[in-house]
Amino acid sequence: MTRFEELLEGKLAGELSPDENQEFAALLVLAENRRAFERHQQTVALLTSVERQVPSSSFTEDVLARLPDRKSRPLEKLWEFLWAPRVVRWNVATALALGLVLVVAVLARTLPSQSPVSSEMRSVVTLFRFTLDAPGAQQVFLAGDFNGWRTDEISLADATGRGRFSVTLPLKPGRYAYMFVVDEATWVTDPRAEAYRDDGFGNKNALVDVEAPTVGNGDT
Amino acid sequence: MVVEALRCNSTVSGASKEQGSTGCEVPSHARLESDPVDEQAIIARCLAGEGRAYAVLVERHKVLVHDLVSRMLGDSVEAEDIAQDAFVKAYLSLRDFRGESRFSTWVCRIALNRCKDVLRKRGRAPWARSRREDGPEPAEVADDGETPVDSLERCEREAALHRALARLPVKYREVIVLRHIEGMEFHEIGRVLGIAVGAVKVRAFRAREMLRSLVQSEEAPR
Repeated sequence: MTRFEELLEGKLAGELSPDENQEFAALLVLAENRRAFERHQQTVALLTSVERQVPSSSFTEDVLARLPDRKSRPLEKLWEFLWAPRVVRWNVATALALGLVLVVAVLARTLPSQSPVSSEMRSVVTLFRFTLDAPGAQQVFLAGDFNGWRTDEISLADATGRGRFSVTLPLKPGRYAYMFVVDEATWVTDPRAEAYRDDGFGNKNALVDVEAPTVGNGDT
Repeated sequence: MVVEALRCNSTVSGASKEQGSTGCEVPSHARLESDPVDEQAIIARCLAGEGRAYAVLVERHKVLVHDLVSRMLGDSVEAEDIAQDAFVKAYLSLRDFRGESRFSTWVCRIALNRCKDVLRKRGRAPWARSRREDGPEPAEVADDGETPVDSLERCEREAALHRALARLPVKYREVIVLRHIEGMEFHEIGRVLGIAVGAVKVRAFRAREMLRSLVQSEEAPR
């Protein structure tokens, strides 16, 4: 691409600086350049005069109709059952019975629990350590679907000072996609990930599967 | 909540045009950038299972995506289906959308990939079933004081342009459509196509040169 062509592209985009504008004006002294500029201006004018083709009025509804349900069917049915309006008939005896149930429930809650299952066991997570070797990097962050792909939230520490950045996260069972963000700009796929998935831009997101619902340690 | 958002964003889909710095008209819709934070929130709702939230994103970008596909395929009927496909595919891959670019950039890339698939399968020149190929439908004649002769000339010019676009190689066609019809910035086109900004500019320049001679050959009496 010649300098004139480069400036012409900038001129058409309205991106030239005052100095570049002057340089471009000087190049237009040549009749050949002037003709080229006019040709391109006319082509742009022709293209931008084209009217947009509008989709049908049912376009959005049609797209929504083609989407699969993300909720599972039984859950959805339960949800609809819970929220469906219905007529409830009552009398004093029913109200008294309900009141009695409530009193019993409150009393039962105030008594010491006999259950052998502790709350600790119910909220078991797996501790997962994410590690990236990035010698020379100033800072490394972890972003994934577990934190809405926020790039400024989970910082990795270089404990050894030799460019090995790591962080340990408590994760509930499930499959998570993640990437490292080096020096706020470069997205890096974990080279040691268990699996990968296309991100739609030609790169790959790393995947981690957290399966065992017991306290333990994983290492990427 | 969705209905409210749809109403707020209905102006984004408009096809109005305004004067550019070089005296050429540029599509104003391209400058209406959607709020990325707002988009992330909508995407989070979609991922939580609220499929209706996706309607906001579709409403916001449907004109862009549909028009892009329509120009690439030269078939406004098929464009409807392929553009919808692109939105469905984007929805299914929402988990992998990291928010590095705008949602519109991402869905345009998906749409262009679908177009290339279709063109490959088709294996022949596009424009086969375009409704606009043989001139405008009666309802498309402008009513802003344009005489029937002006209207006919405008339609013939547009038809010649569309035929010329269809003959342009795909790698030039996609740049010219994104840049001059959809009004995207160079860096955004680079992201959509996965090429450097410099390469986008080179292609845009060459594409206009090629398009001009193709339009002239289309307009020449046979």
